[in-house]
Amino acid sequence: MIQRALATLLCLLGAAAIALGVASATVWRADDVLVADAQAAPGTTMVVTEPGVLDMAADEVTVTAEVESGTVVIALGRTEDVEAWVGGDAHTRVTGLVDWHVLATTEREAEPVDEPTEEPTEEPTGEPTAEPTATATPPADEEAAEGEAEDEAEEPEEAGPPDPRGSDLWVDEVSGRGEVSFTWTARDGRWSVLVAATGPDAGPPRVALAWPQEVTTPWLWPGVGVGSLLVLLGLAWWVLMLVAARRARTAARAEAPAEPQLEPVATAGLTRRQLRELEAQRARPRREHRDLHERFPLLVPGPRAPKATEATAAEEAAEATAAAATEGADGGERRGRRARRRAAEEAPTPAAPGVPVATIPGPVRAPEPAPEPSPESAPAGPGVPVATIPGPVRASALGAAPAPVGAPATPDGPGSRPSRRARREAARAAGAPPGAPGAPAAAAPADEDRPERRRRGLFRRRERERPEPAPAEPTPAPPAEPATPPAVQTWTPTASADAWRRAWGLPAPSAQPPAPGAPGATPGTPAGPTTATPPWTPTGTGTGTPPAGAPPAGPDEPTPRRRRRDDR
Amino acid sequence: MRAARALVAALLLATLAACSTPLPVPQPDAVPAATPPGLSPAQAERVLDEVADTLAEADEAGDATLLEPRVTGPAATIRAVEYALAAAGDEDAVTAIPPGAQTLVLPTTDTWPRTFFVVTEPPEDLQAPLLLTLTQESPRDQYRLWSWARLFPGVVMPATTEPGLGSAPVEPDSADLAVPPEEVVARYVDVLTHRDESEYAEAFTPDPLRQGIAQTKDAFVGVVGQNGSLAETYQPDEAGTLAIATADGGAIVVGTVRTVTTITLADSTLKIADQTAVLLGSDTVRSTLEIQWLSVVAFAVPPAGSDEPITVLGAEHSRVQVTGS
Repeated sequence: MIQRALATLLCLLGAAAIALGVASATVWRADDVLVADAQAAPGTTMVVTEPGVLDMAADEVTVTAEVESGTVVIALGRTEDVEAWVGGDAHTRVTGLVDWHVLATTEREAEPVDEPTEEPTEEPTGEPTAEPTATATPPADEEAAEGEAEDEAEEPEEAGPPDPRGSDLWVDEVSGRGEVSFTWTARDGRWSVLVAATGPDAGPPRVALAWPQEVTTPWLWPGVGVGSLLVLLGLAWWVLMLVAARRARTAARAEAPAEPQLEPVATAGLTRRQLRELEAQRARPRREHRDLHERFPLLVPGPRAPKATEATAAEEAAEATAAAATEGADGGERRGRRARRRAAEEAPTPAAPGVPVATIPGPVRAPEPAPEPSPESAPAGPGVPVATIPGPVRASALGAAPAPVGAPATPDGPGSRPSRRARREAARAAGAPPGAPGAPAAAAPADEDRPERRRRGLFRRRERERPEPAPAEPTPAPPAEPATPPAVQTWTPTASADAWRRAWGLPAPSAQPPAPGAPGATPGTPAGPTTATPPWTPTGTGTGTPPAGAPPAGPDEPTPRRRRRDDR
Repeated sequence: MRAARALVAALLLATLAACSTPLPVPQPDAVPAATPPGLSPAQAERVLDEVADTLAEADEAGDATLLEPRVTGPAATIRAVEYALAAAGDEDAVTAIPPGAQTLVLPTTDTWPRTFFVVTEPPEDLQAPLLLTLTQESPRDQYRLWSWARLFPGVVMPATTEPGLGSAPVEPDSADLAVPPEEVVARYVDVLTHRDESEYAEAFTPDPLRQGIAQTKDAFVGVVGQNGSLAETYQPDEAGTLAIATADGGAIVVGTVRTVTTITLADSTLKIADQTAVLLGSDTVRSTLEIQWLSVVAFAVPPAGSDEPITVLGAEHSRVQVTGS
């Protein structure tokens, strides 16, 4: 879970990094030209840039000056010259940038001048913010004042705002009405620009500095690169997890091929409909696998294959029940699962005592009924099935399983509620000897079904040859384990003997443990009995065997299921 | 672990992206230890052009008032006299001032007044080049031609620093020179007055101006003869001196000397001619005649500690005022 979250997070981070990288080169991309402007403080007609301002953002700067009316001058000079020229007059200084579009300015008030005349001296001094009125209309005031002063013939030649035009101090200058601009390329030294509005109605000029920017997008490719990497990592992680999960599921399935075999047994205690469902369920996985294999021979089978529906109809017509066909694979599966569970739940209760018996594979089961009639018949029973189903273990199991189940049913007939068919089969198989139906029943059905079953068995085998397991549901797996021992027993003389003995309620416990008997496990046949047998056992052999087998089987069943849930 | 690392990387990236470029901040060059020239050669050339334009305009009109924007000091005074003489028919009265500069001596200063010297191209009349001085009284004033002096034949101008680097201005009382600029003029006046008997006679190399003044005086004395008396005084002019350093640590000093020649006639008349007559407005003097000369003299003053004599580089010597009756 955490891994998935982290993988997803990786993908998201990657996407975010890509987005950021792209954004840095698009939305957040700096302007090609950095333009910042400022308005001269009211009452000043001159703007001076401090040294370093002109080339603070680029080596080339375009200064644009604008006035509402009159003439505006842009003069470039050495900072010392510009400042000397401006002298003590009120002016606005550009000191830098406030932000990307606004110039930082400070206002310099006019310094008192050592003039004999009162007027001019007072005027500049008072002009600065001290008196609001003065500040409001400084140029006019100044002018008026100077006019007066001139009348008095004491004021130096200045009339109106100072006009820097034509000064020898300027290295360069431009002037014009309304708006002028001037481009300068940085050079060594300290340089300043003086912007001055001239003329009788000069107001504060507006100054804009524009620096062409070499816009780089240093984060574009790193962002996209890192982002892509992260996304790829995340995706790869995801893929790995999915593959791992599928493999795990596959492995689980491979270990639990028994399931399908369980079902038949289960049928015994189920209604016809449940039976049908179970059958469909059992059939489904096979179909799916085949489909998948056809398509992805190398791939592990997927959990669900919707196409199964078609297959269901065609291939499984014989087996598949109406339910499976109509409900579709999913429904069927779900139903089937439910049914199985139900069956399991129902079964265990009564099974508890009978379970031990169930663990014993088909052949072994035969003896179960036997106890009552004749012990001799029992051995015969197991022998037959084993013989009939030599190669395809599972096939044999399949074939055998239902039969035995049916078989025992017959004897128990009175108390049990096995399916009618099973009972009928059993009856048919059993024939005359009612006392020992088990043995013949087991054998007969097996034979009967053999052709069909065989075929199925072959499929199975083929499937098994590929790594995958036939069964669709891991569910059976757990039961299979406990079942294994019996299966093994089926093959090994000792095992069979053991089973036999156990069936007779002799040394059951000792025999059970050998679960590892892997080879035998595959058939899974035993699993079937677990669920199925319960119904029989109580009535039939139950009495004798329960004590011995019950404990191991009972606990085993639940555990696997829990485990399965954990797996998911 | 991996996730944490990825997270950190992503955060880093995001942070960096958010930071982007910092706001540019002015990074002015430091104030240079050596003051740069107060004006560049280009500016000086431009100033010279404007001066030439103004001169040309005034010359054509013969109106000294037109000189005001670009000519001042002794130059303006002398030019005005020249216009007067020219108006009287003296075609050669107006000194041609070549607009082109051969050498610029630009001051390294950031204060005012500022001064720069120019050695012009040789004039068309194959006369000697001129040494021009231009001054700027205050930041809002323009550079104006203050004086010119004809360089004496054979004079070698002292080496000066590249105009791009500039030459240091020299205060009138600077002690960096063998003789302070003010003192140079005073001593030269002493030499003019006392001639070879002056204690400073040896301090100056012989120069045409000194000779010329002496000859003129002697000539006048000869003319006046027994009919009257002649007195001539020399004074450093109130226009003052300008000086700028040379490469060797010395200086070029331009000073002004006012010479006043007073002739008193005893019961006789004196016939005068040319320029003096024009300036006087009459060619006959009956009792007194006073002629004022304004001399612009350029000296090459060696640095302090040097025993070298002061060289007179050039001069302009003009009658600027004639009164008499």
